[in-house]
Amino acid sequence: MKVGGNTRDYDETLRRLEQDNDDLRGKLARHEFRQMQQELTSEDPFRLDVLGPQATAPGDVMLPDVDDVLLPRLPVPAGTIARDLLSPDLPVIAVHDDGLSGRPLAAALMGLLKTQYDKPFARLVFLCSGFEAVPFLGRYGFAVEQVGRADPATLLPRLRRRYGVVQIRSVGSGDLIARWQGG
Amino acid sequence: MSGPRPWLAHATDPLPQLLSEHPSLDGAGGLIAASQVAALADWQSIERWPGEVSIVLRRIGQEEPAEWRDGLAILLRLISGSRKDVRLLALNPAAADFLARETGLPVAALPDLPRRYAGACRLTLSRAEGPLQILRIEAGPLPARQYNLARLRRMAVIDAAPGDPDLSDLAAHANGVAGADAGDGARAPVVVVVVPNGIGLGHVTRMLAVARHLRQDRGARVVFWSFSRAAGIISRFGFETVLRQTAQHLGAETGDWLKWETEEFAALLRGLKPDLVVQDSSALQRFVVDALARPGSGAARLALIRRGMWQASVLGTEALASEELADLVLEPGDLASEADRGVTRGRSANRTGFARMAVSAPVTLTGRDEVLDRRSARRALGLGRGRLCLVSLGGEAIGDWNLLARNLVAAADRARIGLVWARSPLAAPDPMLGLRPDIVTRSVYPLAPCLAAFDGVVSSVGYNSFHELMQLYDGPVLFVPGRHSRLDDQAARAQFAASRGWATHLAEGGAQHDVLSAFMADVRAARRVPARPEWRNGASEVAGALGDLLGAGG
Repeated sequence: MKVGGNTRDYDETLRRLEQDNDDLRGKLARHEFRQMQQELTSEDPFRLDVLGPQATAPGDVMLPDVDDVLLPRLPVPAGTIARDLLSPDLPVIAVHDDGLSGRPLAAALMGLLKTQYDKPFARLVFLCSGFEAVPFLGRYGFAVEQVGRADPATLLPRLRRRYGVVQIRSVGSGDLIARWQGG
Repeated sequence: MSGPRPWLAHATDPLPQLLSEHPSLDGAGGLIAASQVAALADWQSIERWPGEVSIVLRRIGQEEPAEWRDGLAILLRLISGSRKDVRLLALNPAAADFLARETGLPVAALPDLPRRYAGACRLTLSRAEGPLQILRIEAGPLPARQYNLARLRRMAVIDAAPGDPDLSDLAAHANGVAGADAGDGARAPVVVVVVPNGIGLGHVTRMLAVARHLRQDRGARVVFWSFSRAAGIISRFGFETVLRQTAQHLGAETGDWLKWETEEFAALLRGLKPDLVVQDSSALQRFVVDALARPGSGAARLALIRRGMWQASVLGTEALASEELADLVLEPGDLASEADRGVTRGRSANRTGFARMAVSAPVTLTGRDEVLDRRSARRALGLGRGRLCLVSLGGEAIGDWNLLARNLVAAADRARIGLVWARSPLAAPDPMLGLRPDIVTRSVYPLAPCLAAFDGVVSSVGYNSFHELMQLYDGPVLFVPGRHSRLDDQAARAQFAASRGWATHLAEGGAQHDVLSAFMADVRAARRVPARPEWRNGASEVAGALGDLLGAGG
């Protein structure tokens, strides 16, 4: 890189590129948010039509804990509705679906995700008791764990180790279900 | 909570892989040190262990005789100075006698394992070069760490290279004894299916087809380890499902993510002790192989289901190397296999590992007896009268999608044909398609039972769509190949079908107007195409081959 005017040009180009990038990210996030809104307010959100003989899975497969092994913490994606790069200081919060499904779940998610879109307050890991919202949450780039009928509070140690989760909250009320007390 | 692991062992010692084969030892709550070396290395854990402790004393292996004797002497001093009640074991009665003489203490022989293999295949283990290896006559040695000894003992009679008494004891113990107590009761076979997060629903659909037969024909309990977000569909078919995230989903470093997958998959294996692990993928994933080799993971056989028709541009066979670690590589048959130009064509897996290769009839989830008649199919989809054409192009990269959609709509309009756009159950509703009320969308899984509802179908040429349409449908079909680099060679399939008169196809960059007009004319005329291949039950064949693996023992 030459010194003088060329360096300034280079810096200016970089700044412009960064600004363009930010603008583009904002536009994309707005588009994603609108599409998400449309899905969540549709007549039959999360609808899945499966033909043929329906069977009921015998139950949840619970993985034994692997708490005797040192494992690295995994990142929690910001989701595609994030207009800005999320600050690394934001807490990681797990959101339990309270066993809700269909429109009540969609309404609860709408409230939460609108807040997140307007003013990001956390990195979110969704804890779903069923599978119905999994494709939706996956499409918008969120981390999602299917936890079946497990008491969400008992999941905190694993979620802490895997994602650095500090709290588990209810999707509907926002109530605190569990808070990490350890170091 | 799992608590501490119930054994102490040197990382390279294969004995712990066999301990879970002992019904009296596995999960009994006691601590087992797999050798005197392991006991010495972690004597504090033995002292702290609240319950029963057993130490398996081993005869001399690759160490120097003096080193072996010193180790044994130090251990005996620790035992005699401790208040801990320690039970001493050996791998067989002869070893127990020898070690009792050496130590002056009672040494009991581990119970014999039941024989699990009675065929003619033999393999030789050796530690002469350091790490444990599997020696072969016609090829170089294989690293044994990739295999679980509990699994190897179901694949062959195990011999030990001369000059290693401990390895001879291990091999003899692994081979087991006919008539020994199996202790596994009448448990239904357990199969774990690993499905990746592919493009669309190809892997999930194929494995659902096979899993249904495993459950129905073999009474198997099938558990899915699913990276696909179609986990809800799997669950609706009545299968237990563990939803997983890929490294890409999380934006995680592959290495970090692999550590989690390996540990948690191994935990699943420890809990379920499956008889078989099956992965439907282009290659075995490392976490599957690594977890299976872990002590306590049980003795599951390993199968890879890998479809053919790879794109010719995918060069080299490096991606296929992992298949050698499977016991069985099954290729679901492809009606267009004559046109296969990919690296898997004619591939035999039995080159460096133990994998056998087999090809089945084409696999479809929908069977001939599940196909609805026209009236029932239209009712199931909520469709009315008139000429209707299904458009099922998936989420695949198809040249200029917008141009194709416009041309399709125009051609259908000219022929007075209604279009029904299939939407993947994983996809978001497309707001553009809702702009015209005369354009109908359906998101139903599986769609194949309802094909009779349509007077024609425009489809991409993925494995499942192709075989459903060519075997379960007799109306006009227009194939539009996808060209994603991760997909199979859809263009070759489409051309092959066209060459046989089974379908027409839209070539990349070709003029669309004439092809679409001719196709819509066929749809308008409700033309039938009777010359397509008969449906064959490939899913049942695959399940049969996997089921044979469950009961294999030579």
